[in-house]
Amino acid sequence: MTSAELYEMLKKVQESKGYFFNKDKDWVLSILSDLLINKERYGYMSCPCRLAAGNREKDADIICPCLYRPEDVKEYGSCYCNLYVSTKWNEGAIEHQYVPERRPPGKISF
Amino acid sequence: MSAKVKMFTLSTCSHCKATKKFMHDNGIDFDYIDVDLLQGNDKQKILEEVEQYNPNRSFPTIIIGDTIIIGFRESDIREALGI
Repeated sequence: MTSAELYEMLKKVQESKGYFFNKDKDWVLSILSDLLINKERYGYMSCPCRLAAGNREKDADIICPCLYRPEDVKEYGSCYCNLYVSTKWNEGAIEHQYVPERRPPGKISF
Repeated sequence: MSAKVKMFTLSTCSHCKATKKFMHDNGIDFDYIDVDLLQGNDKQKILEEVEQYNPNRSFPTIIIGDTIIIGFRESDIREALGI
């Protein structure tokens, strides 16, 4: 699968849930390529912005879309990677601040 | 005088890539380690080092002189670099 194919596939599914791709398509395609690298490496699409343990159970909360996306998009208008955002974030109606890591340190097991 | 720049990064991380690009674009010399590409003991050793700077062990962890910056926070990076 190519990142462009993944883009089309996810766009439909995620937009219907209220999560939109960052309007910077180059940024999005780069992240999607990295998701495909992680799928090759680990067997699942672990968040490319975080270090994976390489164990599906330990990484369950950071398999994209991660467990923290709803809260991050609600609070900051964007997920940790700036992959999924709200329409307001894309329109510039929300300040684009750096999304801090929400994953509790206790969850990190690499 | 420019401060020494050291970064702990992931080869797949978008914010890490953006930080590396920022350093290149601004002509800043920097050392970096892509932690996800390390294996076994090398990885553990580096992760212990990252933990000293950033208990969350998130990426990028950027050390500019005595300043530690977590994430691609451009204004903080500019301030630490004095640019």
